[in-house]
Amino acid sequence: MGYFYLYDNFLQDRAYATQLIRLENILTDLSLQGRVGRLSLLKSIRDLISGAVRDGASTLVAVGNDDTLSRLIEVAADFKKITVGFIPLGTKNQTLAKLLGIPLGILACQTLSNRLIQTIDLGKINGQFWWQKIEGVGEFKITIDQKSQITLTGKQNIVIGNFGDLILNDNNFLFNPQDNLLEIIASYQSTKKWWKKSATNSLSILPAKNLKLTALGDNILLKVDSFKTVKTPAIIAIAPEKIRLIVGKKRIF
Amino acid sequence: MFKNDNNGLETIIGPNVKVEGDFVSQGNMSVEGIVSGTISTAGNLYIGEQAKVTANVEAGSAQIAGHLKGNVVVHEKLELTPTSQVQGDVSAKILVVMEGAQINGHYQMGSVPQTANVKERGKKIASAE
Repeated sequence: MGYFYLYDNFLQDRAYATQLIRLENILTDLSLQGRVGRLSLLKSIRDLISGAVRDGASTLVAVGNDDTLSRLIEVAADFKKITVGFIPLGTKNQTLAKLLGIPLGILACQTLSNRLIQTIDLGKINGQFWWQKIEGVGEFKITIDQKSQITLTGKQNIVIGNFGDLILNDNNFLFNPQDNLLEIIASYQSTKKWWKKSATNSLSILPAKNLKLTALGDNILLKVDSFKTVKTPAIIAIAPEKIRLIVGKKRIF
Repeated sequence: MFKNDNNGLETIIGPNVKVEGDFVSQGNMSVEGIVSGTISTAGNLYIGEQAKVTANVEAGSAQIAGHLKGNVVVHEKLELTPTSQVQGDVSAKILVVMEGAQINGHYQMGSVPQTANVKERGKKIASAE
């Protein structure tokens, strides 16, 4: 069982030097040592991961923040029999650790050592994997499972979710990455006009396995997993039980 | 299961939403927008006051407060509120019609044959228990 550790670019900062030395010592003590790849502007994450898998790594561990893990999962999903782990280092952009039940910092090594594994669904957008949510604002037409056509008018905040939590217009949502479904959440909030007593707030929730998202006017830029963008029209689908993830006992899903 | 703050509703069709085609669900559903085609849910269905539905509807239980043009089959309790207007035939095990509700069509009470969607939900509930 070979381990590969993907260090994010920001960990090259001297502030993290001591923490990384301690991390590597603990991993050696727990017999979890493995090859290290460091992300930089000149190195592609795909090259680093395919090289590691070719050399026999079967557990890929993201060391960094939410973006590090999301970028790793996007690429790791292309390979078979891969398990993904996460060591959240640093305090900025750390929302996924809590959802996965993984403590921040080097304490996460113990979670890695326990190897409690959950298989989760991923999503696909125009052939590329994603795992948390897709967000966009505008007017849309959605074809769901080739059976029904939905038209969303007005300026709608649309979120298509698979994993994670979401607060939208005072409503809380928690997506389940093990239900073999995506949820489309559309929220429309009209602005208060002088002839109206208050602004109206409407919410729609629609479950789907496959959908085609088209903008009613000009193409709209969709934000995928908070770190990349895709333009409409987009073909979006669930990819069931696609990746094995090491999680903690206190995970929230 | 996906969790939200909306009383366990798994599908909500809001006021600014128009749905055309077949809409099949296993969970609870609320309609406040415009729907044309068919609606089938094994759970509870609520059709709101502002909703305009032109569809044949099948549900486990239902409460209708808005406009519905189409036939309705409900396997348990169907409640028509004072603002409801139904144009079509209604079939339900238990039918509650409140003062002011309008039905333009035939109605039938008693047990209704279950379709595959409703049977599947029944099995899921039984296995969960």
